[in-house]
Amino acid sequence: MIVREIQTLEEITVGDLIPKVHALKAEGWRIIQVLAVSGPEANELTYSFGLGMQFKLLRFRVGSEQTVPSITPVYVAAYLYENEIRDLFGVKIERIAVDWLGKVYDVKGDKPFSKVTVTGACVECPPSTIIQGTKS
Amino acid sequence: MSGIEKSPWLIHYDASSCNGCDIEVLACLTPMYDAERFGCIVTGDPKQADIFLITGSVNHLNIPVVKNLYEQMPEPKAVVAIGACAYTGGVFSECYNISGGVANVIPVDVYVPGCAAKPESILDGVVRAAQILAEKRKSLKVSQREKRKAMKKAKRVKGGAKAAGGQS
Amino acid sequence: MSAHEKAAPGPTVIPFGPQHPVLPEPLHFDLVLQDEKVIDAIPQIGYIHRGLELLVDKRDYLDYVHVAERICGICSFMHGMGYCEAVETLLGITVPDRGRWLRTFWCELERVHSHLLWLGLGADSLGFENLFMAAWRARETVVDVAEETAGGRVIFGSALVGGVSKDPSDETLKRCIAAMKPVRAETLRLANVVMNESTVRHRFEGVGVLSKEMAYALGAVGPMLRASGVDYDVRRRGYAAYAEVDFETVTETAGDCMARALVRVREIEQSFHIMDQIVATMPSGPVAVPVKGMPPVGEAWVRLEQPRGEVLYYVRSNGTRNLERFRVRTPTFANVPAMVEAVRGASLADVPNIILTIDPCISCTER
Ligand code: SF4
Repeated sequence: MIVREIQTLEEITVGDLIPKVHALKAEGWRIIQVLAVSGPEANELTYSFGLGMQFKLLRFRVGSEQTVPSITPVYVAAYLYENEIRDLFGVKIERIAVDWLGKVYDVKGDKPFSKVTVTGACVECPPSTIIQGTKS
Repeated sequence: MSGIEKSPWLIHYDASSCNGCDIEVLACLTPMYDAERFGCIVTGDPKQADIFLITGSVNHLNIPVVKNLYEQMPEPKAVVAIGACAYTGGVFSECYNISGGVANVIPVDVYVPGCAAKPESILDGVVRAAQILAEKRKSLKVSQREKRKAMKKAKRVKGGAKAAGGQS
Repeated sequence: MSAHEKAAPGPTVIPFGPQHPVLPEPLHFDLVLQDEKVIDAIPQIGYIHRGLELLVDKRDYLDYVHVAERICGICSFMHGMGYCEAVETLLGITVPDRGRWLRTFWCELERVHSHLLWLGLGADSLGFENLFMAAWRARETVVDVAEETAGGRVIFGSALVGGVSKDPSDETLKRCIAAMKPVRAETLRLANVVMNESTVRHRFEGVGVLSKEMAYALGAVGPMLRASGVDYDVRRRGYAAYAEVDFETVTETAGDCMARALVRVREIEQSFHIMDQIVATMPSGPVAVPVKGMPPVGEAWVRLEQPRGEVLYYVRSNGTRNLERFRVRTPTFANVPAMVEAVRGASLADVPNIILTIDPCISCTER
């Protein structure tokens, strides 16, 4: 029995994050990960959720001074990802349920991942539906 | 007293390796390769260990831990650095969080090559470390004897000087 | 105040790790205890953090496979292959059939070696030295097969963008399957020990229970999730040759240490079953397609099922030879919240074996 994987990407704004995440939780989606990519002026955050073999991505960009609400009130398990992103990229995430205060990895140097800036690429990618997978 | 090289106790620490070398170290202790036939026993306590098996390139957070473990081991002691990572940092040598080799943190006696190091070469490394241990023990004895001699001599000289001082 | 009153209960914090006899890797916990009961556990990681995700922009995208294989030495082939699949998705390459079949073979071989390794370490955490040795002795045959077919004992070194880099002959594969027969029998014997031996049952049954709802809500993956009764296995996505073989997703319902042990032990049998089918239906032809040129601008997400659960790879390219961003979310990373939950309420003496039944792999967690 093979289930076809469906990947969907949706571009949202920071303000939409919490209501969207609440809706996903109510539908039974589980959190898979949170990805950060540091861009020239803004960081890009991508939240992935899974339900069966479906795979959903929510993406938005935040400026370096802008704050992002934590999704840990909805998905507690996101605390590791959020702490990691805050430490390595310097994205300002507020009110994380379990807060390590910048000590997740305790790395050498300050916010090492924020120094590499990723230019272009998918920042211009249109919100797309990538469908992948073999037979059904 | 028979030499500790006949039954060296090992301690193993993973200082940010990829696990490849670690599981090969563990494989050395299991029936196929069986390091125990050389009298080795693995201990979790650095104060009882003679040989320090260390894998990985030692990251920033690990430096104090590695130093601490090394300092707790009694003299004489030998360090075996296992794998390319422990030598120079290996594939990770360009990573920002890596100190690039164990030798930057503690003195190393034996390097075991490979990525991942094969159990056979790890065994070779342990045997070589046991020999080094024996040499170190000998020189430690000699140096202790010399120290004692020197101390006695110093005492005598001091005593003599006092005696001489009394005369004048 | 008398001495008695001074000893009045208050939470105690006990550090656990980083160098701990049962843990092969450094992991640190601050255990908050009320008497012998753990009321909270605060994990601290970072002892193995290397920052290898950043290496993508220093290495050629075809060479990065070597680094990807060294994310973790236990699931090394799957890490290499996951990276390759992500790059292949980006490039729009289809791997030839024989390459896909061999990938599946090595994935399952790795699963067997990882689960046997776990069984040994799990037994060691109980002080059951005999089972530890027996599991690792059985594992040696599996590792030998890996060396013969792929070239490396733990770091297989056979992943390649566009296929695989080694092509063992059909005779070799058949011989390897025959050579692993005794391992199968031995696994069944060991499974029997786990299920019936009173020392194991005493330490595993009813310990570290994680309910189905909790496991799902905390985002647990792999045997951890399946032991709590959730049927979720990314192999059902049908990557590599999984669409062409028949296998069963192993689940248990108890959610305790015993259930997690049983899921792994039973999965070994399923893996052998898959390997049999793979070798029996092995197609002929090339094992890889040549890959030339630059990757196109774009991104790709790929999910695989590792011995420890679902893993996710992400690559993003800007059209040059160096990728811009690589991300791997490994199963242990997803399992940490569930691990903390399982430890909560346990007694101090059970902490090592609960942590071990999660099968933590710190090296890939911290990357
Ligand atoms: S030398 Fe290679 S196998 Fe060993 S720890 Fe380093 S990367 Fe892993």
